[in-house]
Parts: sequence; structure tokens; C-alpha cells
Amino acid sequence: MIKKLIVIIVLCTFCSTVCAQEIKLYKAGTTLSLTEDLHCMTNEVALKVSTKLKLLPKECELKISEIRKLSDIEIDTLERKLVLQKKESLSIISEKDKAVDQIQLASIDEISKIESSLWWKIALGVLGGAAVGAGVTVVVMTFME
Amino acid sequence: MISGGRGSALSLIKRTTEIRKEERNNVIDIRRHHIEEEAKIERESNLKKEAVRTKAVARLEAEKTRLRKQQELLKGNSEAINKDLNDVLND
Repeated sequence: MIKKLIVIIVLCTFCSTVCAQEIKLYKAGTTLSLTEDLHCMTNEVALKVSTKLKLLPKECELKISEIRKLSDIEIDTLERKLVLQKKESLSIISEKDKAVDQIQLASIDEISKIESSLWWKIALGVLGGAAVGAGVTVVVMTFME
Repeated sequence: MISGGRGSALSLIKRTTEIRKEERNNVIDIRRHHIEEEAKIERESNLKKEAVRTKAVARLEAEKTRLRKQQELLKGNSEAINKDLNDVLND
């Protein structure tokens, strides 16, 4: 008899505790209606709910402020990267320009070398031709004699 | 004259190759420098972000502690708790 009584007391206590701490979850978009269920809350649960409700606005405010600051940092980083990218592109272009200039100068230099050596090549050709012609003439005349 | 101008062409090609090689090396240097700078910017940005997150977490924790201390005073006092909850819900 005493055992049964103890079991019933334990069961009742357990049920009341479970019922007291039950918090219903509501679907998003539906209206939250405050019913008598709220009166079933224990002091601890009520305190927790109250703390959570008090904390929520501050938490949201902090989150928004954090996100704003993070986005500012991100924008600043992207701007700095963009400037760096521009600098890099300009440096590469300038390097390419420098190389093209150097190649042009080297080409002009080589062409002018060829042009400056052309006059003595012609002179040498003419003189060589004359000398060979004279030599051939001398040889032919010698054989004819 | 002996080479028939081939020497000039060869020296020009040699010079051009040298110039291109130098240019390629310089471009590689510029790219490497850019990558280093970008990594530096990224590191700085991550540090700043981390600082912001830490600060936000600290502020939230401080707020939680402040509220917890406030709630500690209400503990055991059913009427005060009830009033507090009603105030929050009606706020």
C-alpha cells in the first residue's frame, strides 16, 4: 500500500514537473496566443523566458552592429584589393611597354648597323669586281700573247 | 659581310630573347609581390573581423551576466517573477 502511494506520488511529481516545464513551439507565421499554459511555468522557466525575451533585442542589436562592422571591413578589404590589382596591372603594362621599347631600340640599332655597313660593302664589291675583272683581263691577254 | 647579315639577325634575336626573359622575370616578381600584398591585406582583414566578433561576443556575455544578476534578485519571489514576465510580454 505504501509502495503504491510512493509510486503515485513520484508519478504525479514527475508529470507536474514535465507539464510545468513544457514550452510549446509555434510554427513561423502563426499568431502566438498567450493562454493559461503560461501559468503552468515554474519560476525558473518563467525567469528563463523573461531573460531570453529581455536579451533578444540587445542580441539583435549587437548582431546587426557586428554584421555592419564586418561588412565595412569587407568593403575596405575589397577596395584595397582593387587598388592593388590596378597597381599590379599598371606595373605589368609598364613592364611590357619597357620590353617593347627595348626591342624596338635593339631592332633600330641593328638596322642602323646594317645600313652603316652597306656603303663599304658596295665599295668593296665594286673594287673587288674591278680587281677580278682586271685580273681576268690580264690573264686572258697573257694567254692570247 | 662575311655572314651576309645573318650575324645581325642572330644578335637581334639573342637580344630580344634576353629582353623577353627579363620582362617575364619582372612580371613574375610583380605577381609574387601582388600575392604577398593581397595575403597581407587578407590577414589584416581577418584580424579586424576576429576582433569585431570577439568584442561582440564579450558585449553579449556582459549583457547576459547583467541580466542574470538581475534575475538572481528575483529568484524565489513568484510575484516579482510574474510581474517581470508580464512586463516583458507587455513591453
